[in-house]
Amino acid sequence: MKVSVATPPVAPDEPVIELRELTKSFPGNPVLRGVSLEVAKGESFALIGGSGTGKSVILKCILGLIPWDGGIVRVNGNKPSLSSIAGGARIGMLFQGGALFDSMTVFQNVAFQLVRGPGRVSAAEAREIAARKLERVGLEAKIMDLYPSELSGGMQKRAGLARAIATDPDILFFDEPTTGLDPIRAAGINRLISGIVGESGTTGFTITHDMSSVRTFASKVALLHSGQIVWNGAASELDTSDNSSLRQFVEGSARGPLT
Amino acid sequence: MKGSTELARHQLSEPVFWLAFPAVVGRLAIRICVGIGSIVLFAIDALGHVVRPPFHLRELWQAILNIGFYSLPIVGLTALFAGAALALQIQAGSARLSSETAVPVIVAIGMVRELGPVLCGLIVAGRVASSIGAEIATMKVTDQIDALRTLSTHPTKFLVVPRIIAATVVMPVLAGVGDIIGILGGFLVSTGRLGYNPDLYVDFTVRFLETSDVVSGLVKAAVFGFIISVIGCYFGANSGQGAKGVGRATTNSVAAASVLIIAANYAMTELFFRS
Repeated sequence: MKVSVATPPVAPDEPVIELRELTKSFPGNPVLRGVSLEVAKGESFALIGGSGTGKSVILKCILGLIPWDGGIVRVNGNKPSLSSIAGGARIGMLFQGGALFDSMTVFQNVAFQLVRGPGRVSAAEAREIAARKLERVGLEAKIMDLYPSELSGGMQKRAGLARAIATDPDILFFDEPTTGLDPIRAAGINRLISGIVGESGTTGFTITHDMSSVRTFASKVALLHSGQIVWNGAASELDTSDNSSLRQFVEGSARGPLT
Repeated sequence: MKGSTELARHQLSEPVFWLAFPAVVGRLAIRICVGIGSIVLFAIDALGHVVRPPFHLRELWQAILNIGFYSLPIVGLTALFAGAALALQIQAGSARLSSETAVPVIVAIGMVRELGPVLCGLIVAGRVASSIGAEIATMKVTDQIDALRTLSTHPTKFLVVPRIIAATVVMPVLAGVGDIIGILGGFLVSTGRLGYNPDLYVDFTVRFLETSDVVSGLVKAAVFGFIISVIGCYFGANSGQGAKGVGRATTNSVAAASVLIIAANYAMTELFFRS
């Protein structure tokens, strides 16, 4: 069931997410030095790069959680800000640590947006939708009345994913979705994201340094280094590109242009 | 040569020291002013959200339970012993002036005007300001505040407004209960240990206690509730990162709320009773 929330119209050929010459500095630390990228509707985009290269800063700028210094950021053609997260687009977000609300049960977390806001549904309906979304991410409905502290790390991540997709958003953001998970659970999360993003034209934007995630669900990839995009291309080119920075990152080599 | 360098350093260091002292005081004063200004702006922003929908009634009810209901036992116990000790002290003092009959009146007035609201404020500051500060700071460092925003929910509306309304509304109730229990503590000690006649004690308490005494205490309690919630939310929302940030937010919440309660109590006492 789609919860109806007003969404700004987007022209078919207009990118869903657009960054032009984005710059952002923190005191004494220029983080982004002119980042430009575009994400088309229905694309599964992965922004890769080492720790501290500015991936999370880009994500926060796209969402509008932090202001940027220069350049243009548009989501669905609108400027994101604190009062208009992701430019008012219908979004879902999976945070690195899940970011489930500790004081609420799994059901209250998953149904958070379903029972609030303009498109709210009845509690019974919200419970039904929550059960369906939990099942979609491989969790049983019987955990709905548990608190996040009673779940394992992997289950918290899945519950966070269920919350992100509860209202069938148009854009899904994933912040390091596999961090802190063992390889088997990470592969499970990657498969889930691949399935969910592939469904009904949802656009995916992932920041990660996990190449297995990128290979599982990304259709387009950009490599960020020192606050700049040093490679941008289709996921199928990851192993064929001769870009030295990309080669070093993909092979996990200590030697190369990425220091 | 070496001696002349040391002399020059000595001549330089003395005025530098006398300049450094006012500079430190000035920096401290500016930090305090900036801090107070930030808290006032935070409170004004939160008050702006109080009157604008959406209203999160479930969170308001939860805050009323957390701040009011769960504070009742500790507030009640503290008031009971404070009232009992107050009766003993007043009896000891009034015996020197041969005016022991003043004990019921002074216990009642002391409780409803000062001890009830102030003790209640300090106890709730310790229990609630710390918990609000720690909870919001933890939410901040674990991305839960950002998660609220991505779920189209304004953190101030969802986290701050319910706590401010709840604390401002339930504090007078808590103080009122504390007043009654405190007066009861004084009654029990006075009649049980000091030999006062129970009927006369109650008669004196009721006859000389005025409505303005009670109302002023309850108004104080409401102001203390507002202070506690705003301070807790402010330090939580402006905490640093990691466990250290959460710890600092907790400590600062209790310390700042306690100091502000004492200062506000003095200001309101001047306002209400100077005439």
